[in-house]
Amino acid sequence: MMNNLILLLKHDLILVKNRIYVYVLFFLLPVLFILFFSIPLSFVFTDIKPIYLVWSTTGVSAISTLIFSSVLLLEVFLNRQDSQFIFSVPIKVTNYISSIYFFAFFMALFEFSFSIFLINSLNNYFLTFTECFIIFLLLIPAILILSSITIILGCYTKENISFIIYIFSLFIVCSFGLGAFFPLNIYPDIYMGFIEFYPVSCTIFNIHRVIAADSIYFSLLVVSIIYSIFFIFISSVMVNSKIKERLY
Amino acid sequence: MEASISFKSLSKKIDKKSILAGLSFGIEKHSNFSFYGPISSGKSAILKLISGLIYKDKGYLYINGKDININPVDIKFEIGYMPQKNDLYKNLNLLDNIVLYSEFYNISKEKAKNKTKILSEKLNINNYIYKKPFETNECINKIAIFIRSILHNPNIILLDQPTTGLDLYYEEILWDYISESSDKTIIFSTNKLSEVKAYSERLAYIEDFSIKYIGDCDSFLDTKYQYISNDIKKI
Repeated sequence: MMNNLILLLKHDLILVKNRIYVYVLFFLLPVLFILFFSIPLSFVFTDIKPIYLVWSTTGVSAISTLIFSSVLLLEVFLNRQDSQFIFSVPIKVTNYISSIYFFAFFMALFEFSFSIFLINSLNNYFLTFTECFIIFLLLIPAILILSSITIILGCYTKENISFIIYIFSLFIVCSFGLGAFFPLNIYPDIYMGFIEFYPVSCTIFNIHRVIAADSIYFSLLVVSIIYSIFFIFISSVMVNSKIKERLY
Repeated sequence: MEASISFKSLSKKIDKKSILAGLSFGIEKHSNFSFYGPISSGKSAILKLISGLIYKDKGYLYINGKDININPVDIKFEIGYMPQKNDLYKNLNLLDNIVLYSEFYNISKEKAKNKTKILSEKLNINNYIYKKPFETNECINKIAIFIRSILHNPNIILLDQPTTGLDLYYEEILWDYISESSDKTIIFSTNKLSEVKAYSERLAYIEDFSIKYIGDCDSFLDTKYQYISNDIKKI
């Protein structure tokens, strides 16, 4: 099984490698976030503890990781869906599905490492390796949830406009609506009540706590994990039924 | 003669509609067999069932004596499937497209590249293998897809309308190559009666997802379906 997962990962990396120039902008998201969100907003949110530049590192690392992995996954998943031959090679459907998550995980790790390197370079290496490791672990359920949503979308539409709207919405919601760059207390109470148990915002909240050197809320982590299992289940069922019914 | 593929009461439903019901027949080893019929009659669906692209709902499908349900992955090593649709990746050149899947069949990349070069020379597309699919024409892409399907030296070759989009030159090259492979079971779908007559020993005539005739080509010409086929040919 592992051998097939590695082969499928290689297959996906070859697909991405040949269009790498398209993804340079997404890869550089942490730089853009620092330039256009962290630095200007540090003059607006002056009462945040620790200072806003440190507080917003959550957004820089987590949001860029989530967007990068989702966008690349969308490209690879759509390419795979177009190929008939991939379904005739000797691999199990379970390998096929798990390799999609495997790819998203590696892309996320790649982008996260870059963003952490950037953040630490700009902030006197304030994050230790253990803290970075904990942040990435906290991010895994959010990566799995967004990957599942991407897969579900890829299963049911082939229209480019849908993907543009999806990527645009992903960017808007993740950057502005989950408390990554803008503290949630500036939003109306009704919105806060709605977003409180949204799994990705739970992850963002916990990462803020790690960066502020506080202990994380395990209940929020459990909520994220339960959601991610649910989403993985739904997307796996959908991919499986799509594979079994692909007549044309 | 030993059967290469056997269908026993096989059924398949798509969107709750039964498309292949109670399919039972066999295809002999080392023979050429064709599925013949009009467009959207179910020819491709049967090839996809054999190749493991789609799954049966009921019944049994044996390939070289092995039940496809018991070990579908092992069976796929014995099958080479050429889809009707051009599914080559646009960003990769033809050589990369062909060798991309070789490692899944336990063929090293080096070996796959060498074999691709030999086959592309034999099938006369060696000047194009470093080009991307959109830089060549449909004929070249189709031949590249054919090479991809036979690279792992399968016992059973499934060709879904192999000559659609080919010009006469490449059509001849392709059939010449296929005719040389006497140790393989060749199964192809087509809507050209001339191909059925020239390149298959037995055929199954399909209409509306059901098999109306199975047998040798000579007897087929005496059936009522032959007249329908001639109409198709005229269209």
